[in-house]
Amino acid sequence: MTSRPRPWRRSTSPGSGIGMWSWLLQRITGLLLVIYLFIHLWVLHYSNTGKVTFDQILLRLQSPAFVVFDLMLLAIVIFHALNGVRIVIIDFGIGNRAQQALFWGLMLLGLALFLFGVYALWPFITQSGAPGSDVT
Amino acid sequence: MVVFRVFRWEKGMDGEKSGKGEGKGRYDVFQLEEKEGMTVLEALFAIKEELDGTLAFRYSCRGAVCGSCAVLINGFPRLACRTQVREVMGGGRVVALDVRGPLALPRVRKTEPGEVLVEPLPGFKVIKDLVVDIKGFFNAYREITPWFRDGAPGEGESRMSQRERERVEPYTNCILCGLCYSACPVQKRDPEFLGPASLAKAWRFISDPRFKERDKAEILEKVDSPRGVWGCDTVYMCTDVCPKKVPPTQGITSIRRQLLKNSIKKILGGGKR
Repeated sequence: MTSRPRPWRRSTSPGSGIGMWSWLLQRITGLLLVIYLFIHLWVLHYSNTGKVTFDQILLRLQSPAFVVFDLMLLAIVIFHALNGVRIVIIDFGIGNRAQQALFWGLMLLGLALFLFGVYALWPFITQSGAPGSDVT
Repeated sequence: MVVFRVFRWEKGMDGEKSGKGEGKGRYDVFQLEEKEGMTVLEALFAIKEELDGTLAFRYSCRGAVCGSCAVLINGFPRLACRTQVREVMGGGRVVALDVRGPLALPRVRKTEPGEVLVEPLPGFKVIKDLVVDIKGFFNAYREITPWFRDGAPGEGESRMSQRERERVEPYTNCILCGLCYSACPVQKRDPEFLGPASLAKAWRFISDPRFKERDKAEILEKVDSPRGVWGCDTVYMCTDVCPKKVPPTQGITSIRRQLLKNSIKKILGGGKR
């Protein structure tokens, strides 16, 4: 391809629209959350027949699968919630011109929230010195 | 050299399938000498004049004023007259929503370097090759009644402030090409949806201070429904594809705000508009 300057350019290149991707991801994460809700209800109903204690929850978090699941859930919830906030703001007719900046700003906030979640789960991610690891 | 892969279909070809999800029709391949400054519309002319006289496509002004030559180029809705061949012949992947399905899932179009894919606008019925039936688009447009009524804006001069003019201006640039209509995922889910162009035009008149309050209320009532402004999913596809930089989504959300304001006023002010 030549690198000559183009006489006319679009404001956005095809397929780079934040609006399209955020809309699609909102649908996908929404669907995943509905599926999660059923899993959540099922787990609550069938697997916790005994008394739910703090130690029991900590014990469950010893399983790497649960940690991965929790982190994924955290990311999905954060995206869905913050993009929902963006849509609500736009629906009020505010921030329309800055919808892309609004998206990235909220995603930055989301990233910070996610990192905070990772920080909270860090002992379980590294499986080192997790409180309650000696509970039988 | 540049290779054009052009969608072809005419009445009587119904049974022919050409690949997954492509539906009816076939793709013809034409080779052209690429020149500097050549637009896709010029290429279509060259094909019609030198290679295949049966190719059908719409055009009129050749300068992005009439909006007739709207087509899908490499999977993205564009005006053929406003698209440089050199700009789109690089090959690669374009991800765009496929509004042909009710779910409007993203569809990846891959083109090789030196190749340009030209298809009719999705969301419309094909009449022949690249010519589509835009009746639905114009019906929705007429339904809004986007014009000054008799006696308006009134005799003599009707003044507008610079700011008021600036507010209306982006929406007056619409050339009714239908690109936004074909890119809108809501349109396919709900064919009754009035569409981005019509709703943007509705805001053009609602926000015009020369337009009478009575007429504004009439248009507001027309778009205050799930077929109107409340149907929009704020996907911004219309704003992305508009060759005239009209921001329909902004117009739609502005109408929503206006409707909301009116409702609140009604509640607080005891039915006063």
